Amino acid sequence: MGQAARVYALSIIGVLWLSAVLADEAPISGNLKVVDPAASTLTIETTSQGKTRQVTVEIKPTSRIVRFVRVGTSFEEQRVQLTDMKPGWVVSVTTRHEDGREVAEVVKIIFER
Amino acid sequence: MKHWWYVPLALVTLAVGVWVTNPPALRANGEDKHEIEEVGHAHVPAPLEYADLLMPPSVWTDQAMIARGKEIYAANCAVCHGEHGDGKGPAGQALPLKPSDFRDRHAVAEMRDNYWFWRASEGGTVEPFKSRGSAMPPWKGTLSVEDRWAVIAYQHTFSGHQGPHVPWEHPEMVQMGRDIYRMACVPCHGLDGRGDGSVGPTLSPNRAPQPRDFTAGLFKLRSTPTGELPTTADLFRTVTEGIRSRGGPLTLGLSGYRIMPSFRHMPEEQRLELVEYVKSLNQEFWARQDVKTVPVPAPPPETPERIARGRQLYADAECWTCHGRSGRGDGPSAPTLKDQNDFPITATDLTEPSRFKNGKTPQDVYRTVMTGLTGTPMPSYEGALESEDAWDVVYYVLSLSPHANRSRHAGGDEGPQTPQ
Repeated sequence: MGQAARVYALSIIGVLWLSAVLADEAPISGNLKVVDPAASTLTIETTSQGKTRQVTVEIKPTSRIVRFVRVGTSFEEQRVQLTDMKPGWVVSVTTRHEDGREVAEVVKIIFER
Repeated sequence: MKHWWYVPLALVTLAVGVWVTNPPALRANGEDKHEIEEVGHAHVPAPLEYADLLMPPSVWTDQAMIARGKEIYAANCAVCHGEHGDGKGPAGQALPLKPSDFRDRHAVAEMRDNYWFWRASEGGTVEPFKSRGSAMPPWKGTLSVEDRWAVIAYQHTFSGHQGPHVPWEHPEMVQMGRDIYRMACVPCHGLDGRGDGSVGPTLSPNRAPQPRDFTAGLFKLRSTPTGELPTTADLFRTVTEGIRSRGGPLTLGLSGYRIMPSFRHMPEEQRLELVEYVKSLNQEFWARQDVKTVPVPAPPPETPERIARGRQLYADAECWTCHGRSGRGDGPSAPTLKDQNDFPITATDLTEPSRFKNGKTPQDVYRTVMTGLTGTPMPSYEGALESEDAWDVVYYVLSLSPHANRSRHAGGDEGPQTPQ
């Protein structure tokens, strides 16, 4: 392999690596419509640009589900199990693409009702 | 060095690659990342159903209310809006629409109290916030009206402003409406809204109606009981429909026998902004605790019997003394009628419903009969007439027009279409 080819190969690898690092997913927020512990998924009704749609997010063992609990004048994260979640809650979820699916990284509970 | 240009070429390739492969990150719901940096405040008017829910000015500085609001805020709001109101609560960090920063005194100064109350009540369930991905919960089912006032009063303290949060402290709240007013209304209503513009008096020289003095608190066209201020919806209706009248030579340019033009062509949001400015000219709008309207029930069927009863009531109530036996506005008292400014005023010609100031639909006429026209000799018959009797009078009055049945049953010609 010539020097030029090596430089190009490294460039392409660099581009791919940087893309993976920088192309983070913006959070999805909305109402929980379905909690499916058997399938380990949450379905969220979310609206943007005037369109409402439902997004199903997979919960993996690495995913964190948290609520915020007041401790004095600040808040602490408290882990929540998928089975404890209820439809109607307002959540915000950061996700990553994985094999064409949305996989949750952190699910933040905004409002429980 | 033989291949020295490989390095810059690789760097350029890398830069182009990053630029191409790192477009604004797409959300699963299709929104691009640039849009998610917005904050929760938008300068939009509160809808009509919230427009009259003005906070009593004393609440803003009431220490008991502020303390009550602090507790509610800590329990419900701080998780997103932050302990110090900076919009940086732990749950708010990742939201697509950032929670409002109540320390931003410029943004807070723009927020009218009815807007603020609307946001707290409906959260992100209403437009334009829903489409922008707001996750704010609606609090109207959880917090009472007073609780919402209390928490808003506490949130207001973050801005550093000490007084009540009202338009005469923060003119920014009604800046847009004032700009529209100055372009569209000053010639008749005057720079300060006192009805002393240069053009207005020439429309009807030394006679009523003269342009309204918004500072005086006397409004003819209302759905509220006589003597009270109108609702925001009343003002909005007047701005939208204009005011019809017998007209005169100088009103020929205003279509539909209008003495005040219709601003229907103006976007609804701008009409609402304009109305908010007009309200700001009279602090009494903030002094009323509860806005009551005279109910307008669903109109009963029009029948000949009803019209006959209405004719009798018209005679018994002596409507004819002003409006005349045939309703042409030529009753014996008509030449002596004066308005609150002692200007001569004509009795309405009831045979021309398309020129009724307050609208010509049965509901419009019912409202006029029951609320009266403050500042004119037309009294309110609320309390004097039962609802059924009032409908009888309404149908008799509308029967006086030679075109009444045809235009009513055909949905009217060009008359006002009043939202009910």
